[in-house]
Formats: sequence, structure tokens, C-alpha cells
Amino acid sequence: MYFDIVSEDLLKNEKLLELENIFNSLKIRTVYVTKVIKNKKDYESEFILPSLDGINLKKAYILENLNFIPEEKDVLKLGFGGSVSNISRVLNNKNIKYLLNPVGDKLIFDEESARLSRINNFKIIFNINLWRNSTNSIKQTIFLIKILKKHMVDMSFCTLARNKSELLDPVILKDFLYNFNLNREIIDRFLDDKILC
Amino acid sequence: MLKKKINVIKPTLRHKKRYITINFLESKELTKKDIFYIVSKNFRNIYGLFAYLDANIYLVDFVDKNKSVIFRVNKDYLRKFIGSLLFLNKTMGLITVKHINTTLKSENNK
Repeated sequence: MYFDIVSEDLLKNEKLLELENIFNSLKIRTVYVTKVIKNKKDYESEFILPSLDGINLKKAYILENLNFIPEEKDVLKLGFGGSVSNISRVLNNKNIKYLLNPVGDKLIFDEESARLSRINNFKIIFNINLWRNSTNSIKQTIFLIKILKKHMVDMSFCTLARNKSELLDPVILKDFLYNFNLNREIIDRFLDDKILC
Repeated sequence: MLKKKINVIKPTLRHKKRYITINFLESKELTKKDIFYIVSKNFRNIYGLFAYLDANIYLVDFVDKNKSVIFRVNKDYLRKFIGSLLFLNKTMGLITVKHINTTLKSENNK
């Protein structure tokens, strides 16, 4: 079944009943709600998820500072990329398995990073909303998907939506991913929620 | 004797078409013309002039109440057309693809 990773702002900005209808119509069954964590204080502040009918809401933490990694179980821990040094720090960390955002203003992820991701069993997650704002990010994504495919690294795609207009129909995403020379079976696997297990 | 009409194009040479029903959430009042202009311009920006002409995008029907639109596209460009809708969130809000059919009748029946 489809999944998405969204920002906690989405739950604050939109009505829950409307979101429930939207996720059900998009056939998204699992939604990871993210909170950015820079230090212990951020982690200790309130983060309670409501319940939506038919939708499995789960917590996810975007770790901008790897000095503090929460030990909570059954929670998605995403290491934040964004720069060359951040990416190498995340890929060498043994406590997390997901790298979010390997795309920056310039190319920040190379073949060595792809090889390291494969060795350490990392999964790379792309932010779709960056594609909407700049063609530079699509250009980098074309190159990254090529090298990640070559090194057999798993990847996935999320919206990190803050409002309902930033959400995306998985049917549209599937057809768009054919532009990156991915075949149907691989795309189905990357968009299934089992990839984040 | 001068020819006055061209022959009917053989079925094997005709473009195969697909009818797509799209729903969108947008509080702005968009007319049929606006929607067609936004969608076709977006497709042309992404895939270029020749792909746009070959895709033969045509807005068949527009139901304002449900905010649903039926487009007709060439079968070969179906995937590209749907993929291009990714970039329309700012102007048209969240877009969902409801149905894809080979005939307009089956599209209208759903």
C-alpha cells in the first residue's frame, strides 16, 4: 500500500476530517508525521498524533544533529542530508538507516556515498517538493537515481507536505518516475510502505 | 477529375486516444479555457513543442461542481501527461487522477 512522509505542520494547518478523506481517496494507508529534532529539548516537547479512520499515523524524526538520537522504538529516524559533510556523517552512523534529502544547491552525493549506502544498508529518501521548485534538483535526481540503481541502493519518495496542496497522488508520481528510466516493478517497490520496514 | 475531399484515415493509422478524469481542489474560480491553458502550457514546458503537438491534448468536459475535468490524450503520451501534473500544485492545488478509459462513454458512465 502507498505511504507518505509529511510535516507535522500539515496536521496543524488542515482539518483532520478533510485530511482523512484526502488520504483515503489517494489510497495512502500509512502516513509518517515528521518532527525536526536538533537537541534533547526538541525531543521532549509535545508530539502527539491524532487518530484517523483507515490511516495508520506514525511518528518520524528528522535528525539535524546526530549528537542526539532518540532511543524510542517503532519510530522512523531520518538523517538529514543537505550538505556533503552531513551526508557523510549520516552514512557512517550505525543508529539510523534512512537518509533524507541527498540533493542540495550543488551536487553533494557521489559514487562513494552510494557505495557507502549499499554497505551500510541505507535507504535514500527524496523530497518531491524540491522538484516543483527548481529544475536543478531534478537534474541532480536524474544523476543520483542512476548511481543508486547501479549500486543497488533502495530509495523512496516523499512530499514532506505542509499543506494539502503539497500532497501528491501516487498515480501521478508513478508515471513521473518513468522519466528516470525506472521500470514498473522497481517503481512499485519504491512506493510500497514495506520499503520503510 | 479534381479531388475535393481527402479520404478517411484508416483505423490502423489513427492515433489511439485515452480519456482521463482528473479532480482538483482549488478555491479559485477557473474556467474551462484557463484549465486547458495551464495544463497544456505546463506539458509543453516540460516535454517541448513537438511532444505537445504529438500528444494532442484536448479538454473534453468540465464539471465545475465536482471540480472534475475530462482530458483526451494520445495513448503514447498518457504517462507523460499524467506525470506532468506533478508541477501544477501551486495553480490547481491537489490533483487526483480518477479514471483512465479508452472511450468517452465508459468515462461518462463512471
